[in-house]
Amino acid sequence: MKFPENNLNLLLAARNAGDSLLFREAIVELQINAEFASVENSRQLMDHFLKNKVNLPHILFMENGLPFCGGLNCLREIRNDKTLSDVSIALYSSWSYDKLVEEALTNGANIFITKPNDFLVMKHYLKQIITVFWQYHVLGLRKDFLLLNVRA
Amino acid sequence: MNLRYKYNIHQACKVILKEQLQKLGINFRISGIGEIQIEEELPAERFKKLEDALKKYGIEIIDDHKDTIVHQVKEVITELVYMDEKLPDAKVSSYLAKKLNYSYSYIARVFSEVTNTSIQNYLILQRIERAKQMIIEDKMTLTEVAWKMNYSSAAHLSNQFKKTTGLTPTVFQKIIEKRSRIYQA
Repeated sequence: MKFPENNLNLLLAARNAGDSLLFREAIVELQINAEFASVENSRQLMDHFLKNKVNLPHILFMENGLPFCGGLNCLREIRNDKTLSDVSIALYSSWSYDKLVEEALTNGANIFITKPNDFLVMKHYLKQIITVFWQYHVLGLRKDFLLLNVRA
Repeated sequence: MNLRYKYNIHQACKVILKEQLQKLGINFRISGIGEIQIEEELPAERFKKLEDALKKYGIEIIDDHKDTIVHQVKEVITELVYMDEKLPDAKVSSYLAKKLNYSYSYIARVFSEVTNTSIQNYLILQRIERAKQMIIEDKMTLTEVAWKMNYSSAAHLSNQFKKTTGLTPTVFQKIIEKRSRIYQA
């Protein structure tokens, strides 16, 4: 995947180091030019935002069960901070039901991902998400209308 | 036996260019390393022939030609999707071919090569984005949006919306409204 700019900035917030490894591998295999960083809990996440005010991620991928405050609470905290309004958020969970998806999107997630067990499927999701995100970005479409529910 | 050789890459490149351009009957002048001047405007067919002929030798034409096509496709589609009147019935493929004066298959190939997505996908995304605006900002009903965007029915629009976003238009609308109550209060 080639993009008009090469500084796509991605951040992953997940307690599990395995998620981070798989994510990194998927990005490499998809040949996405991206800066990639990861944090393991909500405290590190907020700290990361504080330290990177001028270099905020384009997309934050966040696990729903993030340690210390959970994905949904973090989501509200981020969305109540106007300085972070440009960050698109993809919340993911290994299981999902309609109410959870709605709640996540209502509270400010742009994307909800039901995490697949299969690496190839995850790669496909990632490609889909980044392609759509990039179109929004390049075309200057309204990011608050970017709502995606990604599942099998 | 082993034959050792050395070569001059610029010389080789010049000879190849000369041969290929002459073969296609194109008048040209080599104006520097990595650049030639062609005296006429090359029509798409001949441009493509030249591009293919040179590709064999590992010579790639650097051009804004492809970017221009992509740009034009985007403009035409945006214009179509955002015009005030109802979306026309005519096929977008023939409309694009006529507007850009290239064959649709050529346009489609260039578009996916440069953008990693097909014209079809791009069009769907744009139509759905427009539909979102009509639903939220213009407070139009699904039936009205479907008619205006030339979907055969509200159900057809709803299906494509769901396929593209994973949400039904009704759920989308509900989420956006709830969200604005939470964060703009």
